[in-house]
Amino acid sequence: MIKKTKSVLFVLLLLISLKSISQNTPQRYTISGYVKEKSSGELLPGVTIYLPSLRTGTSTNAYGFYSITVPQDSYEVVFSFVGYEAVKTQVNLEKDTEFNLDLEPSLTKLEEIEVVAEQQEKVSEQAQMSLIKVPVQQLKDIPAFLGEKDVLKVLQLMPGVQSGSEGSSGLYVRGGGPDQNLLILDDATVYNANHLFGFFSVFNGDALKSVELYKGGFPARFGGRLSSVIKMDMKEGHKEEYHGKAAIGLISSSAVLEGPLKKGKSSFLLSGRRTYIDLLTRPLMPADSKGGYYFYDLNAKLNYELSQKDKIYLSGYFGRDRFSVKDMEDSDYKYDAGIDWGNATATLRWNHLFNNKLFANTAFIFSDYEFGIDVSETYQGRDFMLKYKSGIRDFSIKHDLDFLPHPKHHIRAGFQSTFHTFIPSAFVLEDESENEFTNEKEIYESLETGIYLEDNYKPTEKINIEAGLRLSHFVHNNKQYFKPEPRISAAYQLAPNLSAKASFASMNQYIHLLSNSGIGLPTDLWVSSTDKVKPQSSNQVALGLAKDFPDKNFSLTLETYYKKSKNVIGYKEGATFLVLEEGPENSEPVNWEDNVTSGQGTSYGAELLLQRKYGKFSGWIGYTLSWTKLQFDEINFGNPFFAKYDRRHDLSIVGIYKPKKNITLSASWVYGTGNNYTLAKREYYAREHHFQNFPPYIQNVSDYEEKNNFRAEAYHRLDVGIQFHKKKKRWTRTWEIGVYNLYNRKNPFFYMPSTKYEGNQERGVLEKITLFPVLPSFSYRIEF
Amino acid sequence: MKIIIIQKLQKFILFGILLSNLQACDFSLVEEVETEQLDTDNHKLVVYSFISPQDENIKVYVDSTIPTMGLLPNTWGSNTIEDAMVTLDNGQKEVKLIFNNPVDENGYETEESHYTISTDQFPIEVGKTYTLKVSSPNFKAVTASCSVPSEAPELSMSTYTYKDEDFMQTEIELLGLESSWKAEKERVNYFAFFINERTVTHFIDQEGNWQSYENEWYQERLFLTDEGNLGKDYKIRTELYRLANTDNEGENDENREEVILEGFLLNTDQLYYDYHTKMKNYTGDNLFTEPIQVPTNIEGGLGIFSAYNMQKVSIELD
Repeated sequence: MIKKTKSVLFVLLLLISLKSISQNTPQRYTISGYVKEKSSGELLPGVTIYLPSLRTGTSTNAYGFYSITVPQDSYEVVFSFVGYEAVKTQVNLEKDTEFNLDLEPSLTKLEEIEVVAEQQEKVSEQAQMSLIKVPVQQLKDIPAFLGEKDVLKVLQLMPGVQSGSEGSSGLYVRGGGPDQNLLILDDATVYNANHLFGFFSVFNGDALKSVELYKGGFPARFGGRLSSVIKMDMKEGHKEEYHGKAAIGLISSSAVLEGPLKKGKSSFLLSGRRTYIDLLTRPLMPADSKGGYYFYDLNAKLNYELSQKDKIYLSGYFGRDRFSVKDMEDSDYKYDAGIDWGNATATLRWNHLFNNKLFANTAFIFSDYEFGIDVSETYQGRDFMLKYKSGIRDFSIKHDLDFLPHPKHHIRAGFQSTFHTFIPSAFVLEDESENEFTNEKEIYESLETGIYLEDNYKPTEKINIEAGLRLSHFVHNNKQYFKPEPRISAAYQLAPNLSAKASFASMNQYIHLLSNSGIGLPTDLWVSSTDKVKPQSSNQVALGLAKDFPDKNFSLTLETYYKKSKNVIGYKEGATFLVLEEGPENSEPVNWEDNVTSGQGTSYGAELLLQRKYGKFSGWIGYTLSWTKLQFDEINFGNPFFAKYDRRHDLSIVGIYKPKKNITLSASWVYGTGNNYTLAKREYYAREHHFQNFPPYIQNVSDYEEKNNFRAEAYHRLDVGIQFHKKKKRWTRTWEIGVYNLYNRKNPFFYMPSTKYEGNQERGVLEKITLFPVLPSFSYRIEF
Repeated sequence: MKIIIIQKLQKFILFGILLSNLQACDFSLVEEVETEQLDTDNHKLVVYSFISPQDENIKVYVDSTIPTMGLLPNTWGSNTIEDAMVTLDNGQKEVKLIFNNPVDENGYETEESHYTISTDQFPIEVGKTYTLKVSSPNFKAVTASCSVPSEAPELSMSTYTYKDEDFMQTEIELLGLESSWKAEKERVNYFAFFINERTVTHFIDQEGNWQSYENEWYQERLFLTDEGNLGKDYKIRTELYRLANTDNEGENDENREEVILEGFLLNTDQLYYDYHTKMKNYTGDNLFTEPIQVPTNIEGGLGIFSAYNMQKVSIELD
């Protein structure tokens, strides 16, 4: 019944939309074009185009294109974007007009920023709620763990987004797990965003143009995950001149180079990062035994403007982590082993402008995540070789249309189809001494498709509605799932700069992540929905208020949400997916379908965000009050329990202060209720039934009473940083000094029961393991 | 030039790492924490009893839990409670069970101590519900109930042969045991199925006298349910790893072996099934394994009080 009502509402909405389009109005003309950054030619998404006399406007799409159709007249048009000087221009609209504009970053004259009402993108004027945009510049200013700037760790400081364990870059958005986040880099899904067991994420801030996080009220163009969409777009590269950056940090160095291939027409961007602990420690190791760890990232993007109407982009990411050990004790024995994992993505995009109202984006996308273990051993001339691999590979095609027929409507439609290949395990063993040769490969294939239609409709000056429908389809072997996903967000302007917002989003997730460690290990495995393992689904309702303080350059949002999830994946008691623990060479094949169970999740809470994105003093205060409960028939005797990362209070205070042009001071303080752990309250000897003359089977068993029965102490930490910038003749250099965990808070990473001796008497204790004490970091950066 | 840059870089990085590590060394990263939240001082009674109409005696084992925090007991093994009051009630009659600590002539325990009563005095009957109550000073009293399931289905057992390879990779013919039964359609059934192999080996000792010794082990130990497939026909094949064709040994042959295979089919309740499947997969505490919670029906304590009904079939191998 509810589904039917939703469908009827959606159809009505579309009819109203069509009606308003067809109304007889005076002669209308379209003003359209691209908005770019002045110096680099970088296309700017999300730029607000505002016509004060009509009190209406639009914004550029993800590819910097805008279009607005209004009655014939002369208008003042204001172009504004966070971090850029607003531009006011007069347009005499007597025919369809193409108007391309370059915006100048306001960074260059930081101290003189004159805040004008239109300069900030106003949250109160958007229908979209639960959306967080992080200015890329702020990513660079905020203090970071060991000086490594990390997009995901900055997002963890936002309300509604929680970190998992200490140091981990995993995101828990509104009670959902890290598996329920869709991370997209230039349209390509990134499956494992972790380096070094989750302490660093794979996203290199230097190569990013924009970062958006959707926590709810999801537009219909996004689908495939329950809890969040993190959309990142890479920079395109400077179209006019060569620019570069190089940075040396404690654990890694990075470099970016960008420039024109053909001035004004095409450009490139290359960026790379590599850690070097392995190189520095190698000389200190014994000659017959070498080992080490490193990771690296490479980002590349090329773009070419075929014509005013056609643009082509080719972008890619490649990253790898590798642990290796080599042993050559004597001439008879050689041992070489390694573990490596990484993502590779590639996106080929074609932007085409059919006319001044219809914009199209077509993309071919490749994404691959692979984890591997390789061991080779030679002993007395006999070889042993083992190779183990697991992973996921996607080939996708995506087509999006942006249609802007009227200032009151922004219609989007499109589809995406992805062919997934899952490799839960591929295993090759060649053992000459045991005469054993094995070559086994397990492959699952599935096709996931979504089509969508959405309209951002502004029926009156005060009402802004974004409604859409996504139809998702998934097929694996002969099992098919087809699910409609209605979405709606609406804003009502209560007063100037103050609006009330509401949203509803229905989401489905057809692929699942098996990871019972929860800390982002490379062994985490993506698997398909099958006839046994159903897709996860969720419905989320959010209500909120958004207030802008344009004269003070502040925005304030208050949101409450309630999310109910079904068929959420959990791990049966006793389940383990840690390949390394069992060792692939001796483990029996684990049928993952038998190891998982499905249940339901409920999360609700309230979030407050007071944000100042730009200015001499910027930053934010984010607070979340939340509850997350889970219920599985096969876990905790079917009783509901609080999730491990159920966090009642979560507070982040982030401040960036630029007292002078050459100094940036920053600090962030976080506080969060402790995580839940399942710890034994007592032990006992459990007997099994026996017959005849057998002694009973007795096992020492732990009594937990209930799952997640121990709440860890609260987590809090203060990080500080200072940057000294100096403009040299050819470049600008920046020294950065940071301190992670300034007051050396011993935050728990995990708890471990242990025993100690007091004389002859044994004493059981619970030990808290802390990962990072106070850690200073340094880095040096040049930009030209 | 290149070398100088690398050397400078190394110095810079090493300085940073050294500073971080020196700083880190001043602080312990492992710390003992308070455990009041876990309420580990609260000891519980642990009670085990499996009752059946086929048993001669009812046995109830009563232990206490072992603390995980604070001072730990010096003793190993179960903490048997010897001063408990153990009663069993069938709704019409209540009996008190007697503590029994069986020992041999040397004073060594021949069996774990338990509370007991003969089924002659207190019979276990199909369909009846039994309530067990256990109390002991210093412990919270516990109680549990269970109902005796109906008779187990008829069990059939017969031998079959299968082929395998010996260590010389020569094909050999081995003996297996096929057991079958049919579950009732009207309800969800829970079964336990055991095959016990008992061998009696006869031999002549150094003085020329005939002697024998016995060995027993489980060949099969399964916990099964027909949930989702009611009325299932069960057919279990058990490979015995015994040669199918052995020389007929006469009564006077040395190392003559008598082999008896006993099949036990138990009709159990759901708790029996849940408890044993959890116990079978129990791996202990492990950071990377989901903890297993063992089910209990002992209110206020831990353990299990469950009933079953059993069919037994024996086969003697020629």
